[in-house]
Amino acid sequence: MNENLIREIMEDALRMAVETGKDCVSVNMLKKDITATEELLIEAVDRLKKEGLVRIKNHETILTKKGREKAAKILARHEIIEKYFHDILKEPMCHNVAHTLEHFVSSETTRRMRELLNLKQKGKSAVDFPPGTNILIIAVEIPDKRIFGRLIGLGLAPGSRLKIEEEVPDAIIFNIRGRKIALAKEIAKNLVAVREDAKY
Amino acid sequence: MQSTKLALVGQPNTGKSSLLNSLAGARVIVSNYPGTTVEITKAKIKVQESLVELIDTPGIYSISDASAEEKVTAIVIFGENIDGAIVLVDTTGLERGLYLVFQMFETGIPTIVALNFIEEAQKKGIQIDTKKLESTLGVPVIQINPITKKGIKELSSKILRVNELSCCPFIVSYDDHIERAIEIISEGLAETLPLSKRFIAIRILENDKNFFKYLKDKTALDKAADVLTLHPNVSRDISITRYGEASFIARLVTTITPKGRARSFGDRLDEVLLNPLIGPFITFIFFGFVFAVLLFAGGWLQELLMAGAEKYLINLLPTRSSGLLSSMVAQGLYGLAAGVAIALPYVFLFYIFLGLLEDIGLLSRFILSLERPMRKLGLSGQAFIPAVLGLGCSVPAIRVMRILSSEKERIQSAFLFACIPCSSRTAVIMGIVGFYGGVSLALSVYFTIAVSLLIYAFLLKKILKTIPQPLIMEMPSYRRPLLNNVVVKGWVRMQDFVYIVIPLLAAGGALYGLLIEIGLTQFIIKPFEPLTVDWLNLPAETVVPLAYGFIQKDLTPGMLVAVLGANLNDFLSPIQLYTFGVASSIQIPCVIAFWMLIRELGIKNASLITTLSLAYSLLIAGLMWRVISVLSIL
Repeated sequence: MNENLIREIMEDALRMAVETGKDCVSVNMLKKDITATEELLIEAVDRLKKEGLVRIKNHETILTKKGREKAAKILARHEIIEKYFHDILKEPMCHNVAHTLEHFVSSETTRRMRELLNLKQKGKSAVDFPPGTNILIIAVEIPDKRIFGRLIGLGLAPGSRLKIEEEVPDAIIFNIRGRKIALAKEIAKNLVAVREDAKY
Repeated sequence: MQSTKLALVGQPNTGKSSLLNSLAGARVIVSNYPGTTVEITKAKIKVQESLVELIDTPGIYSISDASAEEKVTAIVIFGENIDGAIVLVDTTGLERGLYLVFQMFETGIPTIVALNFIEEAQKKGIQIDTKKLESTLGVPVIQINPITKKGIKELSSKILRVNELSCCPFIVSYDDHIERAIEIISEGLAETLPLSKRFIAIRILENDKNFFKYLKDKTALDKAADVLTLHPNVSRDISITRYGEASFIARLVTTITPKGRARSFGDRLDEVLLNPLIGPFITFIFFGFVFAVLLFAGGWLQELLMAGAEKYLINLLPTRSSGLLSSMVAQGLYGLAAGVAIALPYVFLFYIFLGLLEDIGLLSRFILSLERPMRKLGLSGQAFIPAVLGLGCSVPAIRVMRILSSEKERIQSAFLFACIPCSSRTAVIMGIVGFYGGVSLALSVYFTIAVSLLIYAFLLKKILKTIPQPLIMEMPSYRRPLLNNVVVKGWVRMQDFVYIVIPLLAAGGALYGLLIEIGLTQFIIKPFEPLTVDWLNLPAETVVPLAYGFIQKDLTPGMLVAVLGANLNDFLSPIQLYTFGVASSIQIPCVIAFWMLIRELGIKNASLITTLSLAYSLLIAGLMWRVISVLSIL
């Protein structure tokens, strides 16, 4: 029998149990969403029982504590993958992609995806940092090709580390290793940055 | 003798002109490419019996078609048939410099990299492993210092062998899809090309329209688009990759030793100059002081020069007969003297001063402080420079407007010269209004002009709706200026004035001589009566000095006395003196300034600006005397 397939069905079953909010697993429920032979589905539920992830209570198969913990992990991974594909890769099929990938992506990769998502979330406009802050630019969201090129030429690129030197009424002065650059706030607001020492 | 042609390329403030100076001295030729306003300096030098032509390009941040400077540099690189290029890199910002270096590598032009400001970088704790950089880049990398001449000899010897440079410098490789697109476009290019296929293909992908003409197979664009579905913004992905490589290599060869917290003098100076409150205050005080010094020193020098010239001219014309020719010659020479007397004190002093501020690094700080007040007038901080220069002479000031980025902004600031009294208009205000009506009357003329300037500026802002480009300005580190550099730059900027304005002043003088000699001016008095008598409440004869003022403002005081008589108080009341002062000052000052406007903005714009300014001056002068007379009755 297909070992990998059963593993996948087990993980899906746990996730679906939590998603429905009832914490219970049944072959009939699995049938609706998973295209696999009934044999396989029964085998998967059996395995869940054997591994102590579900137990029978009042004729229903419900999650054990261990099962809920495992389900929560799978769900979290699913969410990270889905969000990563949605926010960063702009993949319209992100939900389906997450369904497939959640079984394969290693915990290390999931951690990195989460870091990148956090970084993107923590990122805020460069005008929102007080003078004296050291920042790391993570995105330059400027559609105008000319202005974008000029900024890159000045060293204001994603990955650049700089210090907010001073704020004057309409402009921000940045300091890149001793070189100072004055930038109108209307441009600086499109630089997305995080604190250089930010933990993510 | 074999001749080599090299372009000097680099970002702004990397010391290109200092390098050209230390290689060639002051033997530079300045030129413009047709249709551009950005200057190019060229110099021919001899290195070990070989002739080398150096072309200094304007400072650019990258090879692209975004700004006028970048366009001109592109013309040099693509159109001048150069044998090689020296890319100047500021060691304190290596990754930025490498970005430009990588683009030069892509062009396929043999390139030498010169690292400048090594000492400054060392002070900041930045050490560059030049050998490692050289082997990574695959081209010669030379540390230079144009001031101490360090590395200049080595650079010169490399220049001669620029053709023998090894073939394969470091080439940035892009994402697989982009590389595939570059291949597809390269296959669709024409056979003979001025630069490498790769470079042209990349420029086409970056959507530089100037390169589309090399694309023979137009379907290549669609084919390339097919492989680029994952790159909706290719040009951005290309620049980010290139910059990423640049900063990776920069980090590879750089060691940074953190320096103590001791703040340098420059940092402390910046604390004051960049302070949002104190900065603008200091800027205004400073320029006020500069203007006062120029007016004082310039006025003194001008008087000295004119007095000397007059004495000399009188001796030059022994037969002081009133012949037509001698009158024209005398007046022509007088115009010439006036030109020299304005050029040297005001224009040259100002340019020297401007060059000093620029090279020290102060100018950009001042511009930042001026940004806010100037924006209120619909202009950028940069527009302050031509305005201040206009207090000396409008002609070079109109030319300096080239620093403004858009034509609309240039047109808008050109209008303002009508209300910025040049030294000749100051002579009318002080010499006529001040002399005959007292200092307070002269000051009230100044006050009227200043208020008119503000009203005019706000009106123009409302009508033209200019949106100046948002500020992106580097503030270079403070540096000790190279005096030689400053003087050469001042001279380069002054050439227009010397070769064009001064001859025109002489011609204007000669015309004036001709006009008084044949007495042609009398006939204009009558037809202009509605304007002079009815609207301005001035004697009809005043139209003559006003008209002559358009040839040369310096002629106005003399002509006024000539048509009315030496004791002006008998003919003009204080209000009339005031009206005359205002009417003759708020204008595009003279025919030379008008001509300069034509050259810079075209005849249509120039005529519009001049006509509107004239109407505005007459409106203000006519209104003001009415207001004043109503107020004095009350």
